[in-house]
Amino acid sequence: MDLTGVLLRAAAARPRVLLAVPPGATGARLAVERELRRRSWPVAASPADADVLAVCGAPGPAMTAAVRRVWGQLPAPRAWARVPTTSDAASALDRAQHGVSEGGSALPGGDEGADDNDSDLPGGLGMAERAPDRDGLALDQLHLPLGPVLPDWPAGLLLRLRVQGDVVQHAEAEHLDGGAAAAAAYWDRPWWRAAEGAPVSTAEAARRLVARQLDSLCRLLAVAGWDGAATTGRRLRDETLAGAAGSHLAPRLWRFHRRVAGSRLLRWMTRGLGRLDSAGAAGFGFSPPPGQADSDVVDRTRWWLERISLAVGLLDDERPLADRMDSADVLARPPQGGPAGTALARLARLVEGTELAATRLVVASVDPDLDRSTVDVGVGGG
Amino acid sequence: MSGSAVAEPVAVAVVAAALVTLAVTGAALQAAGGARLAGGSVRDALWAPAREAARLLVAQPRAIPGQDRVLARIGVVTVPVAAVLAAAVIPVGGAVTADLAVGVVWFNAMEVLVWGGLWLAAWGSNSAYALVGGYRFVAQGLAYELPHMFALITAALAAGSLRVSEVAAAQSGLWFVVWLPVAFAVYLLSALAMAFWGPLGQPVDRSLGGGVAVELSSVDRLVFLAGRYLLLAAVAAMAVPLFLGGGSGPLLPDWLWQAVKTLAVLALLVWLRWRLPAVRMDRFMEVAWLVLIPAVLVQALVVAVVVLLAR
Repeated sequence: MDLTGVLLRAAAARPRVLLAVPPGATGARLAVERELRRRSWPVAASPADADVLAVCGAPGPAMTAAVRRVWGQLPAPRAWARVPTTSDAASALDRAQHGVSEGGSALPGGDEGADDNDSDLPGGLGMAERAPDRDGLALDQLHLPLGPVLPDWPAGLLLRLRVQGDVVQHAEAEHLDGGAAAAAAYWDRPWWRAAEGAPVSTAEAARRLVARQLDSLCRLLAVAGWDGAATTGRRLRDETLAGAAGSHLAPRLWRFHRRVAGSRLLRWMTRGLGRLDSAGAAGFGFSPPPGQADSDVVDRTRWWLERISLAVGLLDDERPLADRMDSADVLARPPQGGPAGTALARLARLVEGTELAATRLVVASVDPDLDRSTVDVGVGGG
Repeated sequence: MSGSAVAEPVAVAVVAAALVTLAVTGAALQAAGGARLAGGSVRDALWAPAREAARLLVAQPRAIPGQDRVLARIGVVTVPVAAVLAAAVIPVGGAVTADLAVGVVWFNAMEVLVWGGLWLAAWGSNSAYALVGGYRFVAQGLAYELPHMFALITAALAAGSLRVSEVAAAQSGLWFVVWLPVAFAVYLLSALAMAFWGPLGQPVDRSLGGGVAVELSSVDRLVFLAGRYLLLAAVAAMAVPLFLGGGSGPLLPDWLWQAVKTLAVLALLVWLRWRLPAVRMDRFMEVAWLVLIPAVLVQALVVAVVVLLAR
């Protein structure tokens, strides 16, 4: 009896998948996440824990380089799944599963060779240099990039951090492969199609809106450590997009809304983080209620929940969307995103001085949709 | 105080088997909870621990440059060893591996080994994410350790002994959870913190790529994760003789009651992992020192007065 073979087959039954999501790949990512949930395959948190690397959409040059580095860190048995469009998800995952059960490609033995460099420092790497910190001490400084391949991270965002301890001293935000032609933002498509004259129903737009807010909200909940609510929310997102009946979805959406809105622990943990003034919030697509100058993570979470509650009643409404496009209600045409450079610079300023957990919460609460931004990062204003 | 020399290996085997079974049950419950929320098959999810173990056994060990692998391995191995040593004083049915006269203090001392273990694993991994996870665990330790110690001492005070079997026997009239509720609540909270589980799982946070476990693969990862579930099993099992009356209860035999109560505590801890968001120490540290410690001290005062009056 080949014990290794038996174990390999058991391992390949539910391989762990690491998602690499370049900008413009939202549809493919949703399809992959739906497939993974359907098959009960877990999602990996780091390359060391992954068996399959699923690359959604079409990565540009910077993203491809990042994906190659991550691929080099996956341990055997490993396999690669390319999911360029929504319909490729199932077949790509099947092929990857077969690849893992075959034993996959091993890492080259070269990662031992790094130890015998001429330098006497471990691995031949340099030591961290020191710099003054906020208390006047001189502490080691680490250069830590967040993204682009990180669980629950906005697609196409790279945040280069200089970290002392776990406090961010300096941050620079970059939009990877942002010079390419901006893909039609997945979440805004019903409105674009309606603007071009195609018959789009209110139900379709409402479902996409609810799914979008659930997606952002679940990313925030996952980063906040609330896996139960994140899993429930993602299941509701998939069912909303798949066309489940509104009467079936509405009570569950309301239950989800009550649970998340009523969570005092979540409010306590996120209060006061990521304060944005109204101009800043508008730059990220939020419209805070009048009379409230600043918004923090709690306010933005509440804003998302409110939009879900407003759209829940419209999930089965078959009237044309064009009637509601210019009104002030929840299904109005979404704003055209500003240039990515301004928004990203604001995001970088926002996370400086916070510790890493707060940084991830702030980025998740803002959830920049870089697909929506106009082209030409950093060239000219807007 | 132990049985004959012949009975001891049996006791050790029984306790070890019970601990491992409990750890696997915890892992299976966690997977089943996740499957139920995601709409998947719960029965299929019960096999998840076995599949995960198989996957990690055949995974290729890999390292990033600059890792101090010996140090990291020492740290990783400390986690299950600490769990097993801590569980040595827990009576299972009538059998107990080491019925020490200072069993309660031994339990506390063994779980402090995990602090060192987790820090070594974090440092040895040579990863910024692992280091941050290590910082978070040390901060968590600062927050929960004193309330935890006071909660344990309160239970021992109420029983008048540090020997775990005597603490269990002292509850034949009234369980400690009834008149030491604050100590029980603090114990459960510190149980979560000790096993870095659920709401207090920031040291192995997914948003950091897995925190301390970010660069662990293959057998290292298996030992680490198994150690975490063994810790969870040990703290759930310890709650029963300390606060829930050991094996006491009508109708059913002692060992069965103990199993039921232990499973109930374990199910509660696993449920909390899905039910609550993570608690960060930068917000919680104040509450731990300014609210929990005084509350537990007041509880200890109440217990001391009751014990004196009852004498």
